[in-house]
Formats: sequence, structure tokens, C-alpha cells
Amino acid sequence: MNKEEPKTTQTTDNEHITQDSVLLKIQNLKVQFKSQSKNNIGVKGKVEIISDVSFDLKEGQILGIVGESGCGKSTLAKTIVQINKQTDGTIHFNGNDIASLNKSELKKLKQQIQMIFQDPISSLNPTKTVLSIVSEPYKVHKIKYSKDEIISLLATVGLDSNNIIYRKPKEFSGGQCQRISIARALSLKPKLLICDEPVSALDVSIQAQILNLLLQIRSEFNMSIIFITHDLSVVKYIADKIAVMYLGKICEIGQADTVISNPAHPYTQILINSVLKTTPDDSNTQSTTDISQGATYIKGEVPTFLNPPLGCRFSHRCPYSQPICEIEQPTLKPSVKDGLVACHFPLNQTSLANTTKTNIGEVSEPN
Amino acid sequence: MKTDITTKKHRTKVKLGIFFWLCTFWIVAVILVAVLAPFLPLDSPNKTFECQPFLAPNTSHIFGCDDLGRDMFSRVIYGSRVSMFVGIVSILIGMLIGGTLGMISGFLGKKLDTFLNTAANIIISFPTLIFLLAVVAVFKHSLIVITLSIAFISIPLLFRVIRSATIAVSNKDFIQAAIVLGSSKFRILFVEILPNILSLGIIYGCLGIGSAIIAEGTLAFLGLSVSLPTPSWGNMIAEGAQSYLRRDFLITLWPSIFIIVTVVCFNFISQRLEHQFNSSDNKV
Repeated sequence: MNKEEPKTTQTTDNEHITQDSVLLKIQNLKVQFKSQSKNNIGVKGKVEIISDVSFDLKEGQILGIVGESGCGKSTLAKTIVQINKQTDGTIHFNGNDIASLNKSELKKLKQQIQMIFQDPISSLNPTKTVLSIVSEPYKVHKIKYSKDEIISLLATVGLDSNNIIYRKPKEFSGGQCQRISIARALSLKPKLLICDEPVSALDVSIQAQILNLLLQIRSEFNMSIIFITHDLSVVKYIADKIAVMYLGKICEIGQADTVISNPAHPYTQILINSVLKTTPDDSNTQSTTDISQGATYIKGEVPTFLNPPLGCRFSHRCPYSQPICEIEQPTLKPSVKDGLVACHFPLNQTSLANTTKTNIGEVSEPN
Repeated sequence: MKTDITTKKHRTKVKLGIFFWLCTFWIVAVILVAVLAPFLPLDSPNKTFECQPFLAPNTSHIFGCDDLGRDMFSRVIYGSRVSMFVGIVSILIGMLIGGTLGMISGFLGKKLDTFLNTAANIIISFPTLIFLLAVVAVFKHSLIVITLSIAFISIPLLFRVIRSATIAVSNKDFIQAAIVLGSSKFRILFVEILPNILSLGIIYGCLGIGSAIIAEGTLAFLGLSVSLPTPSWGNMIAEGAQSYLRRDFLITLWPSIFIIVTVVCFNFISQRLEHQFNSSDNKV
């Protein structure tokens, strides 16, 4: 497949996206869980996994959410599909507040939001046949379907063989299982598809196939996608917009190209620099303290949700940290090209020239 | 973006083996004979002096006769009616109640789960035999009372097995996928979870039937099962062992063989099925 192909569809989509309405609007979302352990003042309390997250998603747009393990990406996804309930804040889907919907309205809404999970094997019921897995959405919502529809749906995701519908998940490889998962998610033609690390469990060649499939169905069905991953090379390839999360907060959000080529938040820069280079002469061994090169490694550990830092949540590990960072929480402020960044000293104003050099590992293409 | 659909073949199931089928044959035969006993050309099990007391096995009375001249073969057959009924029906009741509660408790969790689990722990902590003795002492020892009290004891044990299996399945992504699809809790329980724990239910059901037969036999041995002269394997053993073990051990031997072989068969079937399910496609 030609490398340019997905890029061109992306730009043409971007043109009509700008006129389209906002599909998903999340405002000041907070998700708390009860905690069994005590926090720093010795009180058993609540941990806030998502604190004050806000973003918009337009129709047909792909939003990539990146961040390291345990930063609340998956919790965010599960809150949008209402597996978890939010503690505070609102989620508006198509103008409706999800929290205010009653049971039957919520069930109707669930036709429009679908989710793909990380583990392709675990997300399919091992006792069911492919036919029964992919037709399950129709049965749940009492919509009539025919076997041919299921077969054509499976063909859409690249599984075009007549006899596969009577096989069970154990007979398929991880990549094939993920395609079945995608077929199930697509069956009701949702407007929003949430992918929770859909390629993390797959090997690299299969990753590219699944990513191209997602791009292809985005343009075919004109659906929005929230793509959660910890792999920046993947998100660079697929996303129109990137949100970087750290410890339950969004620290930077903006157009994919801008965020990758010109990161404003130190954490984003470190994430980008930590991606292995594809060209051999690029050195991967940069000093942690050499600010002029942009730091590659982060010192220290991720703080726990039990005792989040008082000021900026990244302040303890940030190579550019100033005294104010440890006291005052930065809010999301406008950055270059209608991006937003939560940093007292965003990078693009001070070290713009240094960060343009960044290079991201490309996703290898099949064929 | 076509890919070749080369699916892996997982058809290499472990063979069940000849013993499994022998055991199944035995169980099916015992159940059939027990059900059809009144229609079979058998001597009445309770008619005394059908033949000579302590008659040795011969062609007309193949198991011989007991102290009152009753035909041992027909007594063993009629005895199996009680044992099999108590074994199967009590476990069915136990599975229905314990299994359903276990599924609901494991899936919904929270306070209901804590409550049911505590209740199960309390029931399990009763000494089984003392409990059974107390029940039959309070109520009259009829077939129904025995069946229900053995069912009651099996409920918490089956509850625990099903509950833990349900919790394991509930944590899988396909349950979350079903929630995202908008499936009701009822549908998730019976369409997604039940097929995954059914095999475990069958395995523990077979084991449970064996234990229930032993429990009924124990009660009958103590004279607390169905009242005499209705034969049951347990009270036949008791009759033979208490008075005539030295004179004619066959009176004890026949029901003993039946009880042992039947229980061993149930346990063996359970073990083979466990092996089979663990190696087949459906393993979660």
C-alpha cells in the first residue's frame, strides 16, 4: 500500500470536518474511586483517576490519547462508554448529557458509541461462534439482520471467507480476533468508536494492518475515533488531534502534526524523544539533563493517585521545573495553532528551534 | 487489504477413553434400571420367603437371598431407586439454587456478594452429619426430607465453585464489550457467562452426585433414611453388616459393590470431563 494514501484521505476529511458539529464534548470530567489505602494525611479516601479533563471531538475526527501506563487513559474511555460513572463534570454526546439519560435512552445511545479492547482474545466470548459474536449487537437492540450482512461486515474488516462464521475465537490469531472485534463494533454503524490500545497486543506488521483498517472504516463510515495508546509512532500515524495525559490530567492537546513536531509540554517532548529513532546515525543516548537537546529519559517514578503533587503533576520529574511549578497547578492555556498546554513554561516559546529536530519512528507498512 | 484466512486448527481433543464410556454406560444402566424397576420382571423386593433365607446365588436368584428370604437382586435394584433419586435430585436442586445464586453473586458483587458469601461460609461450617441427623430427628425421615437436606448442604459448596468461576469470567473484556453494547444484566449472565461456566457446573455436579449418594448411604446405614422395609443401598449394608456379616457376607457385599462402583463412576466421569474441558476450545 502506498504510504501517501492514508495521509491524503486525512487531509480531505479535515476539510469537511471543520464545518461539522462537535460530536463529543467532555467538560471538567472527574472520576473518583474509593481507595482502600491511606493517603499522605492518613485518611482512607478517594483517588481521583481523572481530574478535570475537558476536550471536544468533532465528527469524523480521530483523537489520539497518549500517556504512560496508569495515567487514566482507559478509565477515561470506560467513563465515556459508561462502564464507570463519572463523579463530576459532563459528557455531552450529540448534544445530550449522558449522565441525565434514563436506562432506555442510554441503551439507544450505546448503539452509537462502541469500543474495541486491548486484548483481542479476551474481548471475544470463547464459547460463541463468530456469527453469534458479530450478530450480538443486532440481537441486543432487537434489530433484524441477515447472515449475508454479517458476512459482508466481516469482509469489510478483511475477513472474507464463507466458512469462518461458524468458527470459534480460539481458531483465530490475535490480529484476526481484533478484526472480529472491530466488525462487532461496526455492526450498528456507530458514530464514535473508542479504541483502547487496540494494537498494543499485536505484532508490528499486524498493527499496521489494523491501523489502516481503522483509517479505511473512518472514511467509509465517517465515524469519530478516540484512539488510546502509549505508542506515539502509532498515534502520529492515525490521529488528527492528540491529547497527552499525565496522572489523570491532560497536559497538552492539539493538532497531531503540531504536537509531534513542536511539543509545548516538557512531558510531551520527553515522550516523543523516547521513541526509538529509525535512522542509525541518530543517537538514542541523550543526557537527561541536556536541555538543549531535549530530555529523553524521565527521572523518578510516576507519583501515585493517592498523593498527587500539589502543583504541576509533572513538576517532580520535569527537567525544566521551577519553584512555581511545585506550588501552583497550571491550567490549559492556548498554545501554537489552537493547541492547549498546561505548563507554566511551555517549550514552544523558549526552545522552539531545538525541538523541531525530533524524529518519530514510522509505522512499517505491509507489502 | 485482504488477508488469508488460515485459522488454527484446535481439533486435537483428548480422547475420553474406554473407562469413561464404561462408567457412563454403568451410570446410564443403573438410572434406566432404577426408573424402569416396577416394569421389569423382578421379584418383589419386600416379599419375604420368596426363597430360602441365606440362599447362595443361583440361576433364578442371581445375587442370592437375604435373611428373610427376599431376592437380593431385586432389593439392590429397588435400592438404587432411592440412592439415585437422592443423589441426582438433591444435586439438581443444589445446582439450581447454589449455581444461580453463585452467578448472580459473582457478577453483581458488592454487598449482596458479601452477604451470600458469609451465609455460605456459615452453612459450610456446620458438621454435615450432625446437621443431617438433626434434620431427620426433627422431621420424619422421608425421601423428600433427606433429599432436601442433602440439597441444602450442597448449595453453599456449589455456590462457591460457580461464584468464583463467574468472577473469573466477569473480568474478561467480552463482558465489558457486552456492557458497551447495551446488553442487559440478565442477558450478560445467561448468554455470555453461563456457557463459559457450564462445563464447570457439570464437573462439580457429577462429583456432587457421588458425594450425595455417599451421604444418603451414611444416613441409611444409621437407619435414618427411608424407613424399612423399603430397600436402599445404605440400609441393606446396615442390615447385612449388623447381624449376618459372618454368616452371609453377600448380603453386605452386593449393595456395597453397587454404591462403590456408582460413586467411582461419577467421580471418574467428572475427572475425565474436567480434563476434556480444560484441553478443548472452550477454555476461558
